[in-house]
Parts: sequence; structure tokens; C-alpha cells
Amino acid sequence: MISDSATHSLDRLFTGIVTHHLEALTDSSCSMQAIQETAEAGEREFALITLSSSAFKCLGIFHFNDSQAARRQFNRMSSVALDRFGQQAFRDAFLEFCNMCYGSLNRELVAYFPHLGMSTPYFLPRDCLPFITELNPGFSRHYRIRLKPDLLLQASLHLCDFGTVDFTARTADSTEETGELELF
Amino acid sequence: MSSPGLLFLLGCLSGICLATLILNAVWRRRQREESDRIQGDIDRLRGLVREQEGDLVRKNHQLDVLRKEADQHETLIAQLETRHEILASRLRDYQAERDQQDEERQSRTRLERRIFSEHFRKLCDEITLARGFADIFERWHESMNSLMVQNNEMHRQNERFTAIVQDVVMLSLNAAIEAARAGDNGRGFAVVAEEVRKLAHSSEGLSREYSKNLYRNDLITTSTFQDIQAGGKMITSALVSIDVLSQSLNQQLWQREDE
Repeated sequence: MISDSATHSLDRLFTGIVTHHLEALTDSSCSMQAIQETAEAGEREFALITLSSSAFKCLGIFHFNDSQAARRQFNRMSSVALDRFGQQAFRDAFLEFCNMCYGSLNRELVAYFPHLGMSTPYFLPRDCLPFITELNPGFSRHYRIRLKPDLLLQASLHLCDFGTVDFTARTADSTEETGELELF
Repeated sequence: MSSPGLLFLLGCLSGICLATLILNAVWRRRQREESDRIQGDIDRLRGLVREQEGDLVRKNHQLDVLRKEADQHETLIAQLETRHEILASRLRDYQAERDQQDEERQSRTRLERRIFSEHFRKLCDEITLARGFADIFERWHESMNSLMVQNNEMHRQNERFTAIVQDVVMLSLNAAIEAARAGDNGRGFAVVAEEVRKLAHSSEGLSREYSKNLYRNDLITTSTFQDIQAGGKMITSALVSIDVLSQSLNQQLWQREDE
């Protein structure tokens, strides 16, 4: 069972964290809004990352927008020059961004769920997405992210509950900088 | 002798007698005064003696009282000494009993400490072993990567299979066209071409389902692995907390033992 307070809190935490990290990493203005369903925007892949506890697992889906606009923005995370910012470096930077977002979410949620663990992110083809319902998420939310001037990203949260998930996150935005991509 | 001389002599004698009588009277008066004074002194001394005698009697009485009190005190002291001996004996017994209890307690504490140390050592060994689970998680990660590589290979094989099926569909269509051109002679061949086309369509459908199953498999495998991986990290984190707590507990116990 997932309480309304938990879904509101998770929504607020995730939105705040993603916005904070994107703005900090790319030095661009970012807005994020919930949408009914993710639409095809040229993404052929998405990064999947999971936070697990005994009561739930929270799947984060970050659609990988393999465009020049995305590459320009994520290149700002890297010390490599744009003309040498290849496919692999871009993918690594994207995974690191996912890792940082979920690392922050982990630190926020650990105040309410003392035993939490986080996976490493992994790329999957978009054709896998329709089968997310087979994981029986009790709560799903999709987001459209606009990063000025011209980048559109999409992300989704899916919370699969195995017990009562009820918490109210504190209102202060307290995201922190994280370290490098955690390799397992 | 002339009468003036006699008169003078008589006068002198009378004077002497008178002086003697006066002196005698003075002397007697002084004797009486002295005797009265001495008698007064004697009376005062007698009074003092009587007072001293009375005082002596009182002091003798007080002395008797004090002697009686001293006797009582001696009796009391004797009683107290006896009681002291009894109490000292009891104290010795109590101390002996307490020493024995201390010895037993120390012995029990040493035994408990030895048992605790043994359990603690086993706990530390278990924690060390459990922290080695990270190696298992690493193996799982490698296994999942292998599984995903295998899935990708199956995707590629399926794509090749789909391409072959599409070629077969085209071939069956061409065969049907050629059979139609051949007229009655090609009727049997047209039936075969149609069956081949149906088989190719069935294979195409099967390939699509197979492809979907592969994507489904990719998602469920990855999600399951990530859940295991995150759970592993959760367990590792909990083990670190247990390790820190057990070390702290052990340290506190040893400190208490030293005190």
C-alpha cells in the first residue's frame, strides 16, 4: 500500500532532485512537469536504475535522448571537448547523471527507510518499456523535462510496493553533490 | 629629808604606781583582745573543719556513686567487648562469604567473558564472511552482463531470422507468380508456394512474439538483477552498521572489565 503522502513526497523529491542536478550540471534553466504518458521523442534507449528496500523498489527510467542538443548539454558535465565527446563518453555522462539523481534520492529516502540500497544504472532498448507493467508498479509517474534552450528529456518513476510505503518528506530542498559513477 | 623632797618622792612613787596600774590595765585589755581574737580564729577554724568534714562526707558519697558507676561501666564494657567479639566473628564470616561470592562471581564473569569473546569472534568471522558477499554480487553482475550479451545475440539472430522469413515470403510470392504463368502445369506448384507463404507468415508472427519475449526478458532480468544488486548493497550497509556496533559493544565491555 502506497499512501498519498508517499506519492506526493516522492514526486516532489524526484522533481526537485532532477531539476537541481540538471541545472547544476549544465548551467541551464530547467523545468519539469508530470505528463500522462511518455511520448516517442526519438529515444531508442533508456537508462534503468533501482532503489530497493524491504518495503518497495523504486525504478527510475531516464530516456536517452541521443541528439546533438543533448550531447552539447551533457558535454558540460565532462572535461572532454565537444568534438571529442564520443558516443561512449556521452553514454557514461548520462549514466552518471542518473546515478547522481538516484544517489540524492537514496540519501533523502534513507531518513524514512533506514535500510536502502541502490543499483547501478543500465541501458535498455525502448521496446522493453511496455513490459514495465509486468513488474506491477503500485505508482507510476511520467515527466517531461525541458532544459533551455532546446533540449527535451523524459523520465518516469515506478514504485513497486511489497508492504506499507508511507512517509512525508521534509519540505526543504536539500540535494547534495555526489561523487563519481558508482561501479559495482 | 625635807618635806618638799618627800612630797616629790611620794609624788613620783604615786605617779609610777599610777602609770603601772594604767599600763597593767592596758596590757590586760590587750591580752583580752588577743584572747578574743584567738578564740575567734579558733571558732572560725572549727567552722572550717566542720565544713571540710561535711565536704569530705559529700565527696565520699560522690566517690561511692562514681565507684558504682565505674563498676557499671566495667560491666557494660565487658558486655560490649563480648558483643564486639560476636560482631567481629560475624564480620569475618561475612567477609569470608563475600570473598567466596566475589571469587565465584569473578569466575563466572571470566567464564561469561570467555563465552562472549568466543561468540564475538564467531560473529566477527561471520561479518567478515558476509562482507565477502560483495564478491558474489560482482559475480552476479558479470553473469547478468553475460546474460544481456546472450539476449542481444538472440535479438540479432531473431532479426536475421525475420529477414530470412521476409525473403521466404518474397520467394513464395515470386513462386506463386511463376506458377500462375505456367497455367495448369503450375497449379501444383502454386499450392506449394501458397503453403510456403503461409508458413513464412506464421514464422514472421512467431519471430515478432519471440522478439517481444526477448525485450520482456531484458527488462525483467535487468530489473531483477538491479533489485538483487541494491538489496546486496543494503545488506552490506547493514553489515557494516552491525560490525561498527559490535566493535563498540566489545570495546565498552572490555573497558568495564578493566575498571
